[in-house]
Amino acid sequence: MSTLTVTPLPALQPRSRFGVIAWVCSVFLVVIVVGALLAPMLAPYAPDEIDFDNIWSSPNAAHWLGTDQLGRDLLSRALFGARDSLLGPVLLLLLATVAGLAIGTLAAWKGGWVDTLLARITDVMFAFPGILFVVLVIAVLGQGAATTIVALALAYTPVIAKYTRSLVLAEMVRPYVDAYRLQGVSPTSIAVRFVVPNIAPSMVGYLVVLFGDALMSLATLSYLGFGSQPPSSEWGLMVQEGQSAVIQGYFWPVFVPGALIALVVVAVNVVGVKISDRMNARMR
Amino acid sequence: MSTEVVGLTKTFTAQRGAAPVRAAQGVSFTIPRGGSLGLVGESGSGKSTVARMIAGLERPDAGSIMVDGEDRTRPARGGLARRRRASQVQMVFQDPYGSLDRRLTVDQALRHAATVAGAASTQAASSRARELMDAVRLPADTASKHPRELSGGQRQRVAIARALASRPSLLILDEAVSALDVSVQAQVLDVLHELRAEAGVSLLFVSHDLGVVSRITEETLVLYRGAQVEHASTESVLHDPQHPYTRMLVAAVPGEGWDPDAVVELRREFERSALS
Repeated sequence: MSTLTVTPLPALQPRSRFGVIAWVCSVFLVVIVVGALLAPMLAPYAPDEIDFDNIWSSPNAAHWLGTDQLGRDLLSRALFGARDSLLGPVLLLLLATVAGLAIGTLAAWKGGWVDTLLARITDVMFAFPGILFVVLVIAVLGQGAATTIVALALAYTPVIAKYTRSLVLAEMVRPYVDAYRLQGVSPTSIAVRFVVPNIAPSMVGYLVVLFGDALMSLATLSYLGFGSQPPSSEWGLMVQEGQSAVIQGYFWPVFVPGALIALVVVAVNVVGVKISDRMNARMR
Repeated sequence: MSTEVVGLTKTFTAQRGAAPVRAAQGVSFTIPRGGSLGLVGESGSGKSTVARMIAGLERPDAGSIMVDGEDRTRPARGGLARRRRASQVQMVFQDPYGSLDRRLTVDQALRHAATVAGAASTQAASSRARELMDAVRLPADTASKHPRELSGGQRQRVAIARALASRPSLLILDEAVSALDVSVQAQVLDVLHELRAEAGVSLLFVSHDLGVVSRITEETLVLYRGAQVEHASTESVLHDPQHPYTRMLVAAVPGEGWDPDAVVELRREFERSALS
């Protein structure tokens, strides 16, 4: 007896499938965030507990990720440092997004001098090395974590404004905007209540990319000594303090914060792109 | 209350050095209350621009547009004026997907439209939304759906329902059934017939397709490069076209004895006459 086996064509997987890698990245990010929030409970040592008998030790049972040049526990420092490292980019992007969305939408919607002014400012900003601009702002406002965040927010605002402008311009030509106009909905209301929510998926995808960028910029500034100051164990600052260890041949004090920065940036990008795709798929 | 358009003129200058495009050259017509006019022409004839000017989405260079006794050539200022304008003219667009806000369900979109049009309470808005769905014969189960879950014909009926929320005197349909297949076109045209009979709304029906126009309008105006070349009852435009351009458009309507070669021949003849 012959049997005819029919193999159905594999169903086309929609892009909204979350995927194993995205799940791994999500779990990793949750662990990092929970670790940062519960650092006082989870950290085995105080982040500034000095132990000269145990400097530059490799990972062992007492110190899971090893210790630095003062014998401080790297795991505890990384956990406490995650607070500054993660909160910084979130805060600065929040500031820059509020300002950038408002300016970009206004420029696209009103055109005219608002648009011209935005174009000039972004031209200058793009022609100017970003880090130099930020250092300039810090020179004026003084150094420290808060001013670094404000300075970077200022640097990111025109970037977000420019992107918002292009999204809003593309959205404005869609006939549904004309339909709202004909219904008598006020222009401000159309922009704020209908156009901005419609560009949200693309905006989220872009902000995720910027988050990685912002995290690295903040770490770089701390590394250079402009951002978070000791006794903070912000990851960029940890890398900087670990330099002496590398010269002596011990890589753990630099590897732990460096790897964390890299992994968080990658994980945020993977998860963010998936979320943005999902939001887009739901709107299509 | 009627729609009176006199000497509507609009010229677009795209780029420096490029020849200006005359989208409308003194277009004039009147649509009585409950009446209907077909605006016919090929792509680029200016029919959409005329429609958008009457809707208030484009400002004419010259001419006047009176609807319900109000001059609409200047943009409305203030919320009250905007709402009054909204109750004069509404428009249904060609792209049935792009003309709906993709974030809103049918019910949300219609309730919002009813609220903007002045529904006194959330209950009033809800019942008005249901009323509008009935008017365009949308099944009740579409209420909770997003535009992406609807067929082209359903989307277009949502767009019509939304346009009706403000009880407009004039409804402009800009190629509103052109993207739909023939059987769905018929359904939407039926809905429009009923609306005219029941709500007394006037129609300005913009289309490149004389065949569709003839099924819904009493009068037809033919545009060529922004100029009106013929304006008569749809009957006589179809059966006794005067202008060579109209003759070509009539010959292009598919049906009995349709001959593509004849259309091409008529176009040549028309272009010769247009040059001389």
